[in-house]
Amino acid sequence: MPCSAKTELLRRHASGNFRDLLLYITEDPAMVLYLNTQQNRKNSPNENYARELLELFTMGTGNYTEKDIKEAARAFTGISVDQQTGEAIYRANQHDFGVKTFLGKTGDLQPADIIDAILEQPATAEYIARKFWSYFAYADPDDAIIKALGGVLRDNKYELKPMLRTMFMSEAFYAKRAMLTNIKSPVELVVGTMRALEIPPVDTANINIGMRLMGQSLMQPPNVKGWDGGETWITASTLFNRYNVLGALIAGNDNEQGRRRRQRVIEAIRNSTGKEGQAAEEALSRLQPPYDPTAAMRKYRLVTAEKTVDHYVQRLLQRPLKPDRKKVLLDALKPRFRAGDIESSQNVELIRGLIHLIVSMPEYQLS
Amino acid sequence: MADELFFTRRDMLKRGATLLSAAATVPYFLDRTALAMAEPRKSGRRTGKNNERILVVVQLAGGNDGLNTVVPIGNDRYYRARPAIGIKKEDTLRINDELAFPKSAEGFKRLYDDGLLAVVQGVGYPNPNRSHFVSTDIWSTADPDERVHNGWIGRYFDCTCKGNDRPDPKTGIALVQESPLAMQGERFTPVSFGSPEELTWRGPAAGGRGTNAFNKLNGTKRRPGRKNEMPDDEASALAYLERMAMDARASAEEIKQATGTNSSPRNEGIRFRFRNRGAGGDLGQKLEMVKRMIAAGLETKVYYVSMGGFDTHAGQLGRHQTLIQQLGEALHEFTASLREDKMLDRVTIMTFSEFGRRVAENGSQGTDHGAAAPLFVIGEGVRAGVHGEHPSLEPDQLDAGDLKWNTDFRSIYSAVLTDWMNADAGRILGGDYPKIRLFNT
Repeated sequence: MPCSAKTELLRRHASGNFRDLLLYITEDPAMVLYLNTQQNRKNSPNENYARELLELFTMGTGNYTEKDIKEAARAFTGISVDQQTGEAIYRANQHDFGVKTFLGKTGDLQPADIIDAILEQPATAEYIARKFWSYFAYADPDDAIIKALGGVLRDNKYELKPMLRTMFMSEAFYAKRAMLTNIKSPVELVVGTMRALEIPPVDTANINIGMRLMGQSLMQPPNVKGWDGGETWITASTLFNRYNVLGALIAGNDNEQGRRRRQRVIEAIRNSTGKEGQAAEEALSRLQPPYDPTAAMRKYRLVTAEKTVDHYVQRLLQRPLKPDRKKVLLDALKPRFRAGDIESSQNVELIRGLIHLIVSMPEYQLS
Repeated sequence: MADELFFTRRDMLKRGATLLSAAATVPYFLDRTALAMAEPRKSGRRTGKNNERILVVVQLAGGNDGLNTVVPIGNDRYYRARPAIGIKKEDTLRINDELAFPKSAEGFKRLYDDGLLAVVQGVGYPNPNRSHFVSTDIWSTADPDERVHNGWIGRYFDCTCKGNDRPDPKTGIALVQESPLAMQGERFTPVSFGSPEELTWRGPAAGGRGTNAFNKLNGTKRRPGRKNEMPDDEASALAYLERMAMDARASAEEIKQATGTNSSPRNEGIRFRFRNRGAGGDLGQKLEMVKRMIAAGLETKVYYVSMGGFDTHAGQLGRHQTLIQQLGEALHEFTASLREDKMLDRVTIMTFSEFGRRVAENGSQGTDHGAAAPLFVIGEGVRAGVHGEHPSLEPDQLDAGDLKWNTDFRSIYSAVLTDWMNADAGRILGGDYPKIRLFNT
């Protein structure tokens, strides 16, 4: 279960203290296994974790030497995972107690000393600030922004909340450049759509596969750096998959045909894996009901095609649409729309079609 | 190395997920079941207008074991290093006194006997990296220093167009879901897809009014060329997405037409092209699709396909033999089918893998990540035979237990770019590498 434990860990510290996060992640079983810390031993050090810690997680290249990597690796020796329990353990006999020199500090440095030395460097605070800004606002921000945010982070001993507050309250965060310039990740796209439409996550197995088809398998990043994101989310395949997976989610599969098909999947898995798979079968037996707009139809009195288009454009895009674009949606909906009939089952079908068109717009891919 | 552990587990998960997705998503999106069984329509075949040369890159993901692919049967060191997984001489097909293909890889042998296969020995690069990810990036970018962030084929496409023009994305097609770094240029982005079936909008309102509206919403005008960079305001972000949507839609039509996977009822009942139906497994199917696109005269210069499963840390012998049997079959069927239609003179195939594997077997009858390995180049224009020296197997001649390289992989790229693609290899690779004479031209 190292992956679920790691998710819990990240959630617990995501907006807490960055130093705590680093200390915990250094000993996190999933990380220890992933970046070879358990092969990192006194007489045969493995630099994998030390290198990525500096290069990807805290400082970025150019701020330390190859020697620093080697010395940090020595400090992390002895951290391992118990094969039986899956818990992190410390093997003192494999730890290197010798004198190490890291980023100018000398002594019998322990993991916490390494992390403190990293956090003392201004480059670290700025590297972290840059990551947050790039994620929430835009890539390549001006140095002034990064220096200011990095300063807040260091002044608050790497508590993340003050830095986040400063960022969210800054004027630059609301500049044109920060608005609707990010391409939604598959998770943001799918979860965002479900939240916006209040679609319950029922057929999670298929939702997961859908995100994989868009290029993001949860718990399976392509490499230690993670997903590149941004424009790399979009290829011919993934763009159509984004449109079609959302369409399938809205249409649902909790029907006779869907059940038959799912039964075939369950049998195929049973045949290939033997008997064990009850949890998987339980998960697979849940099918997604179609999106039901009747509550919205009543609550917002969606009695005309115009009102219906306006409602869903506002709900999903949160901004007005250019008139020519809106006209396309209206032209698709209007001819068969039964105006004035708030209980119309025909309208229910048409509204699902309308939503699929809206989520199949380039505009909808941006956040 | 724990990334091995992770990779293997990932592979396993992926296999599980693939099974699930094949079964679960096909019904979701793909109502017709004749997925890879259709053939291009008669009219779509051999438009013949296109006589350009084509490169097909076959990635062997996971690190292919070179020593069990081209077996050094004449070297006792090999058998001593691999008591459990060494391939016995009697189980091989002879190339010469020193080398042989495993019996299972009959496809290679047939290509070799037909004078179509070049084996380049000992391919690698200085300071070999043994991480799957890093080494794959190195092969993709052609930069062992990892400073370059786009791919060698992508840069080839960047170079093919003047000024600010953007190369037609269809000139490079990757039959993989995630766009491969090797194909990504500064301005060029290839068309990447797992299956042409994916390139269709499938809405509840699809067909008629819905599709019409979808097409309108996804752009119809060609936009001016732009670099592949993150847009900096909403308008340009939208333009970027609209361009991608339009490219996807435009390419999709032609690709579906060419592969016979469009929904036209006329396509039904058309048969599979490869003689040996189903040969070469998943790779065979992909190459069959490539064949159809070539036959349909798409203006594609580079196709990229990938085959996985080569990370054989344990129980290697049977597993690896099955893989190279499929590989050999797929490549043989592909070339045979091209040859039959007199198109093989336009096509060169090149294989690559991020690294070879350790000379000595490990404790679980597998092999760990290694370094240098042989690479195949196939085609009528290719100087068939064995090129270069086999790296020494003497223990004191190994690099941490791995074979030392004697041919830089960029020398092969250089030969392919210069002598096959007529491109400026020095500019694309950022330097000159000793060229090997791999082509007759």
